[in-house]
Amino acid sequence: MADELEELYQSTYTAVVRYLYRKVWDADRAEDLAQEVFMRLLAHRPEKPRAWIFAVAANLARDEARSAIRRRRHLVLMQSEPGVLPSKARDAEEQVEDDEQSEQVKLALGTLSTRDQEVLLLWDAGMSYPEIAEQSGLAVGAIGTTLARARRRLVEAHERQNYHEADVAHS
Amino acid sequence: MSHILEDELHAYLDQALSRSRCVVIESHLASCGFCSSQRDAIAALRDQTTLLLGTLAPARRIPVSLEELNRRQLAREPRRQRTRRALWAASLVGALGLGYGIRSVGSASRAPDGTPAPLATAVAAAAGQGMSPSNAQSVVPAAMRVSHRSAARPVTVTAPAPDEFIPARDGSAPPSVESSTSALPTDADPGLQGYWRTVPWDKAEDVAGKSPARIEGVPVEEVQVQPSREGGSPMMVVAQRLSSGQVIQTIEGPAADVSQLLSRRGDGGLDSAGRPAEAMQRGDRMLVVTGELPPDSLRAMIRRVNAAQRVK
Repeated sequence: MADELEELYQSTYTAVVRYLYRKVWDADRAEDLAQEVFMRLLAHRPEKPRAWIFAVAANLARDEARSAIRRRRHLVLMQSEPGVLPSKARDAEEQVEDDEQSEQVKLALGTLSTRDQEVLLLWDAGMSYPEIAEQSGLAVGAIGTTLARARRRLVEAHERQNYHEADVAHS
Repeated sequence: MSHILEDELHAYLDQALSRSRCVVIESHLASCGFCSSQRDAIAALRDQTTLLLGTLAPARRIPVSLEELNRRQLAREPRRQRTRRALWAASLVGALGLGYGIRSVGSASRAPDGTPAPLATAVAAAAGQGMSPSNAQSVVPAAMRVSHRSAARPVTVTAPAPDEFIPARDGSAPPSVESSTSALPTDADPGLQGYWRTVPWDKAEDVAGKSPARIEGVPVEEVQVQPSREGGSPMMVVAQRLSSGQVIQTIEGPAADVSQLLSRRGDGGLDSAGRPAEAMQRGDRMLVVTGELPPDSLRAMIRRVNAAQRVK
């Protein structure tokens, strides 16, 4: 059981952090929440741990959203702190480009409906169709349709963002 | 065979279909150029989505080890257990309190034969003797609530009349009641157990074993005492006359006996305006004030305490 948990932890932790990050948009908070998820896992030892992990992560992220305004203020303070510096391995210009790209994708993702976002993020976290169906409340047969729509809309929204950026730069 | 639907191609690329369905799709793709190009487009879309979402990832860090998380979890466990134990104890106390409260009200409305309800706890006496608003449990007994509906006669008597007296607890016939202060006993006569005795104020404490509850600053007109059979606190009725001529009574004693007395009187402790008497109960002891009092009186205080209790 301990080995199984260890294996699950190794294979899932990064995906959970990424999933939470896309919900809370704060790397530190995403790490904290992911650790909380796994501490709860150790306490509860559920039968279907993988699905359980993402269900708890979604709930924690939802709780986080309730204090979004407060957190946003906190984030502004954090970002303005001099201690948060770009990685030494990358120069500042690359970092700026990456940040812009992230921001565009984030905006594109924001144009999707909550359900489409949820299904897309769960899929990207490596969950199977039945697991996504269980967590999202959709039928398994509807996951393919939802994913197809979500992928298309994300890419289209991102292209629109790119065009808009290009227009602004050109003008 | 018709073309494969888009969502099924997504599911196919996501490896979410059964093996048999995959075989069917693959054989179709091998012979259908349209579906084959559709599959390629969806695969590109899928890859692009993955790429885009990949930009929305925090910088990779070395994760905390599972052992460390387990250690943190174990450190947190005793705190959780303590909280659980505290909640359990609180719910037990709450349940006991609720049960006791129900029993107290039930016993207050029972005892039609004068049998006293069992004393569950030692009871502090009355106002001015430990029954403070902060620690008093306030209820209006069921018998009083019933009598409020059935009677509207205002309180004008100074003390219970002979036909209103509670029968002897030992079942024997009541002796004649002393209503004159001239014939007051100066000490507690065991032969009068269970029956009312009228005593002067300055002897009341000796007879009752404690100072009777009363409204401070208002002259006492009459004190009637019913000694307890088993050496417990007696029931006392203190009549006081206000400057307006109105008589008020402070009745204190076992809850069952007090409520029975009020119900036997028929007025249920209504004042001249038809308002019900105010009652406070702590354990099996009850304090009731009947008659009209000014707003700054004990009765008004009791009403406020009762209202606060109800809000809680």
